Amino acid sequence: MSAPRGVSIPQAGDGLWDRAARAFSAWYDGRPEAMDELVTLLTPVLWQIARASRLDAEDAADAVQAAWLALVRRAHTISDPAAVAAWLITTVRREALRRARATRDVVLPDGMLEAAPAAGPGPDEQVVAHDEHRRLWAAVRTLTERCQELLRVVAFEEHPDYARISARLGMPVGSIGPTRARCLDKLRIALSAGPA
Amino acid sequence: MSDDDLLADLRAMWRAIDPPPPGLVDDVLLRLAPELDDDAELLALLAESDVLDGVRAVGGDTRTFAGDGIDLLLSIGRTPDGRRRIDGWIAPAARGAVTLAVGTFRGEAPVGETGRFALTSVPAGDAVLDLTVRIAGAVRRLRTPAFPL
Repeated sequence: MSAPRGVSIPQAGDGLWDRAARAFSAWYDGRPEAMDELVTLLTPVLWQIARASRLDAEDAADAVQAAWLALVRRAHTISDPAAVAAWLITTVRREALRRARATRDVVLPDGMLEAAPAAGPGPDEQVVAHDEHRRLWAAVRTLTERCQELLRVVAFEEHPDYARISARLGMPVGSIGPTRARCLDKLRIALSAGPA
Repeated sequence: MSDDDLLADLRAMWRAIDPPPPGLVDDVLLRLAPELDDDAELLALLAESDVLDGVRAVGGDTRTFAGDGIDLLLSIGRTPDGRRRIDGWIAPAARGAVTLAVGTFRGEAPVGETGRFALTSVPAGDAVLDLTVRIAGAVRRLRTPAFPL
């Protein structure tokens, strides 16, 4: 069952990954229009992953385009269609980190990262109209950059694979589970402490 | 609230406050079009150096391709490490870009104002060259038939 272009993107939990796998298979088997569907399905997710690295809008869009270009050029290296979303996420993540490194010449030591308040381009608070979203966003902004980044990546992964995410975030395997839990705990505390 | 519920709320929040730019999907599809499009104008192989003595380049082969109002000349040399070097030029001169495909290898090079380009290290094998040039304000996409390197 394929989705026509322009339909709203389903929640990550209701089969987005499966639909992406089917669209990729169809395209690879010679249905060119299936690429439109695949791009429509996954581009919003790739955007979120790129923005997790705090790229500005232009760099994030470039990173997303680079990932798609890599896909059509290296499609033959993807042996399992079910892996197409993970492959794209890994690729856009790598591309985003490369661009982020290129635009940030100051590298803070770990301790400072943990302590530093979040900085850099973020979504415009003015557009945060919805009360729940505004409350959540205010709480997220009290977290470290690293927590914000990790939670954003994890939130858009349907089946978080800690080994894979760990490699992507440059964190040792074994620390990402606890780190994720710690970031979520801090978020809960900020939510309960913040204005209702 | 479970971790999954909280992550779902985060997902909804980020989707709402920082959605992709409205044109991003179309921009991606436009960017992919030349890669996916099978409608590039196919150039015809006009001449090879071994059938046209006068065109033989020193120490290498040449291939001449022609399309509607445009010619493409390739001079193919060998590098010391056994790879190939391609020097190409198009006439009339026009700015653009080329992509050379040899198996899974992709080499890209800009085409300068003089219509010249160079791919300095490409593997041997059957190659296809894609050429995108802007001529008289219009973008044209051209493709050679496969030729051996």
